[in-house]
Amino acid sequence: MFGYVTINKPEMKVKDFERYRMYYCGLCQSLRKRYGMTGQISLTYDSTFAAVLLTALYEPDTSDCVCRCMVHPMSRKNYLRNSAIDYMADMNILLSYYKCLDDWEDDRNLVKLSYSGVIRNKVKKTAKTYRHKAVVIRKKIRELSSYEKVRNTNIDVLAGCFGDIMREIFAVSPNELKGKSEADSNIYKEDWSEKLGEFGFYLGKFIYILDAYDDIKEDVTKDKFNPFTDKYKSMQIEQFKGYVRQLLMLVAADMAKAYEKLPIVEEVSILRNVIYSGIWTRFFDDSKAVGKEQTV
Amino acid sequence: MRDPYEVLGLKHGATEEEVKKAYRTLSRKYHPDANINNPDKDKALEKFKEVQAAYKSIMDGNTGGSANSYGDFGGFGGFGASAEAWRRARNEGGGTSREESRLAAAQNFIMNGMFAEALRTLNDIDDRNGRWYYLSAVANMGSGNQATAMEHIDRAIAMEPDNYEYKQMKSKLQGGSDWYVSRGTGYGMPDMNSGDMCMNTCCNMLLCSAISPCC
Repeated sequence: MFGYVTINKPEMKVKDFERYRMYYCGLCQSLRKRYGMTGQISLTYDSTFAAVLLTALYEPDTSDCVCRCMVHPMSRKNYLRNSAIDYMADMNILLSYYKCLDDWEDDRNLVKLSYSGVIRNKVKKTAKTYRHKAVVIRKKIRELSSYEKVRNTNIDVLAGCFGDIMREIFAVSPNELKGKSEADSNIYKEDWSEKLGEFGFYLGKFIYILDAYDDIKEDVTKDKFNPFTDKYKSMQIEQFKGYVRQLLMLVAADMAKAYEKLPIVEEVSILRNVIYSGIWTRFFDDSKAVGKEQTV
Repeated sequence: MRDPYEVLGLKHGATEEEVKKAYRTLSRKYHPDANINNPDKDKALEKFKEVQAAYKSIMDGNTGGSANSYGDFGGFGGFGASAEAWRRARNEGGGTSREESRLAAAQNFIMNGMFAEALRTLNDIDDRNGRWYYLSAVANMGSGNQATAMEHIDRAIAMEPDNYEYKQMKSKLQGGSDWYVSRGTGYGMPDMNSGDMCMNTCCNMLLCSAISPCC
């Protein structure tokens, strides 16, 4: 994933931030335990958010743990452990593994290939556990890059393809989580996978569009494919930004609607901070603004 | 159906958080898995379904319908009125062409929330007039194709600039994001502080001063 799904830290309460960090560290620990240090480096904010969402919805049994971590060896850190976090660690790995394979097939990037080689055996096991999800993710990644290769500029098709990947990752039932840990006796039993999937689809679309917007200047300079190239070249910069903003707004609104239908009562202030604010951080980050150079 | 708030044991005007909390408690209690050994499990299942329906109806109301409810124009009633006008036009006009009846079929699909079928029907039509682009915008929005929807409603308006219905659809599309923006203010959505951005988008908007809370 791309790391666009972040919190808006200045707007967040200190205790919420601490809680969010505990999820982040929890995910990092889970990746390390299950996939080693090579797994750990694939950690993104996007999957941290997903772990918070799934935990808040299904309320799996969660324990507080303490660790020392590599990044901060001198201090002890609290982190969370539960089946939702482990699930997201698995999904995080599946996605980055298949993405690496695809990049290798595309541009023979050796670093990517060696990375995917290192975790290959462990991924195989995970792909077996979630056979259907693994097949869909792989298929959709291939489909997406084939669209990009023929320079399909239909943003709904491209972003929808990535949306389908995220739909598959988010659409998880309580039973799928429960299978991962015996202890989850109190897990919320109602299956919300369909609504979760819908949410994931719009989040995926949002991420893809934002990523394309974020890369547009570089892609145009290097003559790399970007679905927004024609619009970027034919519009004034402010008009272009307005267009993307409006598109993102529509997608985000559909995403927020799907979220608000979920009966979530825990971690609400963290989740809404991301959904209504954090996901816009990159778009409104002036230092990285798309039109920066042209307007100076 | 009983009053949904009553089903959840709440008063009217209960907050969204209260609704979610009540729903969670009750759906846990009546979930079939929690009532396997309950002699009254059929009753529990019935209750479970009732609680689910109540929750759904309240939540659909709060969010202005589900993301794929563009067919019924949640609350606007605009589409209903136009459907009638359309029917009238057909009756008065007598014999309808093949294309027209296809457009009518697409519109019917939209009104029934069958957006994929509507899109398929529309794709079979070669003569793409303003109405075609309008219906395509609605069907695409319902299918989660926001970019195509934006493009097609603009094209419909460009082809028939005086058509009030098309403009209403455009502001309806934007209205969906107004809901989102107004909720976002409480969470410090960065856009709120950015006046110039707002001005710029507003220039592209029709009816913008009337509907946009930020201008």
